[in-house]
Amino acid sequence: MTGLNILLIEDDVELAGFIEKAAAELGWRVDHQARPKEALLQAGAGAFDALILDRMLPEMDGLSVLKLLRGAGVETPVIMLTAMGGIDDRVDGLEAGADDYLVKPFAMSELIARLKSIARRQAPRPDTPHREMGDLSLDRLRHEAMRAGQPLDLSPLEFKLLDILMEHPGEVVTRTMLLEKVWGYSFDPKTSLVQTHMSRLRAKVDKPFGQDLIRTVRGAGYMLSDE
Amino acid sequence: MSRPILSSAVFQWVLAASAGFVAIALALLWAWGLFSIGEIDGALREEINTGLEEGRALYLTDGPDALLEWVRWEEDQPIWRDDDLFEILAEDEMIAVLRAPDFEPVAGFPGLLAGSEIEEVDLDHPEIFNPVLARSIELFDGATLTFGRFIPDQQFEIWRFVVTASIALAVIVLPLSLATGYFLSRRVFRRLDGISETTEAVAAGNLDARAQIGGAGDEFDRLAEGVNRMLDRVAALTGNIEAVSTGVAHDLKTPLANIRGRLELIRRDAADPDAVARHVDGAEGRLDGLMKVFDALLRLGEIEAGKRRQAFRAVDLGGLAGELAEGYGPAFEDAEKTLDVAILPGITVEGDRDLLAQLIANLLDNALEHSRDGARAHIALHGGETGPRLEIGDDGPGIAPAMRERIFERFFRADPSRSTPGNGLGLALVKAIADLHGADIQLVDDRPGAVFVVTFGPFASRT
Repeated sequence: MTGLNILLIEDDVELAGFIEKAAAELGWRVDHQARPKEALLQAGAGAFDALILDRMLPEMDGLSVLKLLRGAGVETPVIMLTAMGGIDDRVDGLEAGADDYLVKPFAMSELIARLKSIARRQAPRPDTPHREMGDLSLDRLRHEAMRAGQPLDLSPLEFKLLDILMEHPGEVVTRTMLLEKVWGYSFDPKTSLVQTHMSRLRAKVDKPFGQDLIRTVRGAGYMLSDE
Repeated sequence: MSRPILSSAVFQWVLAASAGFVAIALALLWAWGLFSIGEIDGALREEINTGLEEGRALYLTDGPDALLEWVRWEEDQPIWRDDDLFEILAEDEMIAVLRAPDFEPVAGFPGLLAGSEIEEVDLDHPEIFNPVLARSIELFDGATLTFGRFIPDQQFEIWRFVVTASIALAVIVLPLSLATGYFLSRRVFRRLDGISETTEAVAAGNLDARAQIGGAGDEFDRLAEGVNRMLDRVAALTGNIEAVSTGVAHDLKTPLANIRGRLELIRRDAADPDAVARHVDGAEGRLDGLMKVFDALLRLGEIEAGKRRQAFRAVDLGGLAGELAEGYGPAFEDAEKTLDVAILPGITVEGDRDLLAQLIANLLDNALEHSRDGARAHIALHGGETGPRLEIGDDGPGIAPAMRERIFERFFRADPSRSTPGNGLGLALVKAIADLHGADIQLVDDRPGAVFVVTFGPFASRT
């Protein structure tokens, strides 16, 4: 993936600095704006791959900025950052047109993974009935997984996890992203459901075949890769 | 009594009621007086008019002499003397006078003078001053006939009675109602003072103060009971806040101290990347734990505010429980425990799907975390007698009886050393979510192990 071009709208200069630094390490270009009005102009004019928008800004709140942008026909993917983690806050953000929503404090790896995920949505990938990665293949219609010509006996949850990993080959999918996509709850159960099911999935997908496709990315999440 | 009685509502109500009562009594009295006087007056007038008409008829049919004869006092004496009037007054009879066209009286009492309409006149008499109601009519040749009647004393007595009674009402009833109002207000004040002293004591910080119940079961007792109930609830909530403060102090400061320590270790071990990575991982783990406590507290607040109820819709509880049981099954297996699932499909409740999921997940977390090694846990859902009944539990070791009461309290931990994982908010959240859904949650104690039973109300289910 080539470097992303990102507009960061955030009034906390220190946090913005952290984000800029993390993005620079990946070779991404970040334009930082602390004031919502200038940011609106820039977002409307520039061609960005993604917008990072803080929910609480001076002068105008992030939700209004987002509504104005969407009202003006700016379709750039937006990830909202917020200190508000209420049950409805997330829904409000998504309804206003955000593509994703991240509650502060967050791990930088979480933000990076989510940015990659939403930025890629610009080029919509056909919702294929079939996914492939190396010798692993997934028949999404018949709910069948094969590796090296052998059928894998996966539970529905394991199948779902594998499907999400295969949708993002070579990209980190975080634990929270998996939790949101597979279970869809707005809370994080004490028992680590993702880890439990992921280890079972690996036991079935990787263990018998010698070559590990599912990798744990330290402090971030999981990644499917055949390199 | 420090409070001014005059501004008391009871006092003012008694006064207003008395004033209303006096006004009605006066109105009735005066209406009766005026009516009675009108009756007497009307009878007199009719008598006068009838007499005059009779006189005119007599004059027309039998001539002036007949009339003269009718009016005169005695055969030889047409003009009445002053003394004759005493007899008339005593007998309450008609006074009459017939005057010639030159106005000279020809028969009757000359001292009677009246106009052509009935009016009250005074007689020209040296001793009798009683007022007279009288009227004159003109006969056809210019002579006039005048009739009059003494106004009876009865009328004056009625007037006197009405006026005296009015004054008496004002003089007696007003002070009486002032006194009644005063004493009534004092009594009410005395009953209310007990209650207001209680609330003031509570406001001053004595949360244990309670209003005395008189025992009569009257409205004051009901008010006192209501105040006491409210104070019980306030005390419970305050207890909650205290528990939260203690919990926050302990459960937040401990990880913060740990993180601080790890930061120092990072500084010390800066040369050793592996050690730094270990410290960072440890600090991150503690931070995540802290965030969970914050999230749980915020969520508790949100749930208890009751706003979520607006988003209630039909939730397939069976489907949700099955989904979570499927998710948790492997976790129980990994811990070498068993999760038995007995879920009747098709059970729906009115509620918030996300919160109900959290209720089930937290109870499953609890069964997984706090059961004995190799425990057999279970999740069961069926229709129940009054409403859907969800049961989640394990077979040991259970919760000590002394702790049972407190397990739903915030930051309460059955393990006083707080060494087992958990933040003491999981079951508080479960309870808050059950309350929001009008569901009853009980820790069943007739079986080994900790078994929680959530019973949804009959109105929670929807077919």
